[in-house]
Amino acid sequence: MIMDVLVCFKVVPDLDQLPPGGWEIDSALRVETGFVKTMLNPYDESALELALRFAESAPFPVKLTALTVGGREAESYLKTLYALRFDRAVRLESDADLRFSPESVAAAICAFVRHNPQDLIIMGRQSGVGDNAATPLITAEMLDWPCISQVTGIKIRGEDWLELGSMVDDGFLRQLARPPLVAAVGNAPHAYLRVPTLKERLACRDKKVEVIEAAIPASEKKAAGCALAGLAVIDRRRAGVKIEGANPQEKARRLYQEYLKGWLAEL
Amino acid sequence: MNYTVVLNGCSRTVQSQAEELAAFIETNLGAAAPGRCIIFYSAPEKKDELAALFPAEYLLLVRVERYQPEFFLSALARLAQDNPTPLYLFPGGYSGSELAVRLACRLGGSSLTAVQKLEAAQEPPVCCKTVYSGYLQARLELRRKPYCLSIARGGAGQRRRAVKVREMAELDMRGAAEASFCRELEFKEAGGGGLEQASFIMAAGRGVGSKEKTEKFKQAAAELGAAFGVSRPVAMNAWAPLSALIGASGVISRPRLCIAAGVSGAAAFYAGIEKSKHIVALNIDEFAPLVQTADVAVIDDYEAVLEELLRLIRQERELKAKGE
Repeated sequence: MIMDVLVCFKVVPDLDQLPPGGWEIDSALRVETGFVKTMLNPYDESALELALRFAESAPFPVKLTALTVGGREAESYLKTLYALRFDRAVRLESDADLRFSPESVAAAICAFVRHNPQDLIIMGRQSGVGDNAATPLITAEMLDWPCISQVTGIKIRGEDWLELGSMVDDGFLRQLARPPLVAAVGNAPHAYLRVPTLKERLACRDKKVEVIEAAIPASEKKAAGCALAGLAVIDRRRAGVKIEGANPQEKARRLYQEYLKGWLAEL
Repeated sequence: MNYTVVLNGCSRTVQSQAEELAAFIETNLGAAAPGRCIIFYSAPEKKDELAALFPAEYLLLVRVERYQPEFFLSALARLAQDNPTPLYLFPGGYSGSELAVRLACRLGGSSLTAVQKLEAAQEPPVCCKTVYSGYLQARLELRRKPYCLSIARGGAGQRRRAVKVREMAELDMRGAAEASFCRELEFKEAGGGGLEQASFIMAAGRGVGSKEKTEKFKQAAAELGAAFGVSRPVAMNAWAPLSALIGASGVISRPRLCIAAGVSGAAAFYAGIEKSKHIVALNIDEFAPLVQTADVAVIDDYEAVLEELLRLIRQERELKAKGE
């Protein structure tokens, strides 16, 4: 028995690095993020690490495929995933504006899965550009597969079952589920993607990333359920008064006397 | 616009779901907008209490074995076929967002999650929500009916709806076969330490430095009578349980006072404390974003500042005790 596991991820700009005055929105409602470094979407990073742990603990071979939809900015991440023992690293080429079209991204993933059958799809629940929180759910619906969301851990149980930990509105759930299914990864503690060694990198330096044209409906605008009509920077600034003092103790005393004492009394 | 509200009565968060949805409807559609409410529940002893949570012209109570999206979705899709409405509103938790997106797929409609505002009178209707990790606000036009929306969490709650129930019906969906792909093994309540309702919160960020220091910070919070929360990096490092996570992917709080130590103040975290009346930032980095989005900031070693604050507060308490 071989289990095919697809992990979908997205490379995103590290938006926390943008200074408050650094947001530039053009007339086409695009946001200039080219000058900040990119990173793996944190939920997808957890998905990739959970998949690696899953493959290591499975009593049978697991074929891992990493897939992203987008441009060349993902190439170095895909090569790293080869070094981490992913069997295939695939980029579905697209230069379309997919920020608010999770339907198009899901359609491209589903088209890939139809040609490359999978038993399990793992991906982060949300990524911080569109903040749609919808791609894994729509993927499941398009494939007519069940979906378990807010997943925090995946283990194999016997030959037919998976054990999944997940969060629900008021607690934590552990359940057994039979694949195929989509696991949308949420807040999974201790699930940072491991770093490959130099030896691991060298061992796969000649492996090429597979680039396939993304099967996105001819007009992605038609596919998307929503159309972006405006974008604005949210100004959350407050007074930001900095307490001065010669040392931490003096600052604490001033903070307490001038502000906290009164605020604590209000409670 | 005629609407259907869907509540997950299997969750102990159902009351806040109902209150936030009631406030959303009053603000965005008007209290008199015609609507119906579907409540899924699993505990029969709670049925009457749940039925009173969200008075609507038409109220449907659906009994299920447990929270399982597949049960809910097949019931909702069937009900929507028989008696559709153009708008389906879901609460802002995990289940609400999941159901909104998946139901829209099944009905061929548009979905959006974490919606803050709905301009329903526009054609097409427009929703506002935060995007770009909470740094920007987007206006998005909804293209296809029905519109399935989950609302943003942490909105103002409304306790009582002045609507009379005209018709009430019940449905028993136990034993539905759709969930045969899974079996529940264990459920553990989150026990979030009352963060959502707390009037005073102390939050630790990655700058606190270690699991041991996070624990010490938690003890200081307990001594001061504050609920303890953390930012995402702290929870992801397992320095604190996930139930203490504050922010867009955790608890959205509305305390009167929040003291945040070692928190950089990324927008995703700030979403969880922005409704605080007063925010104090303790941070060694004067350029941390939270310094600007706090009312007051101390730029220094948080441990030394907190230690002195504890001494002052203890002293004040002793004086008060003596005075009494």
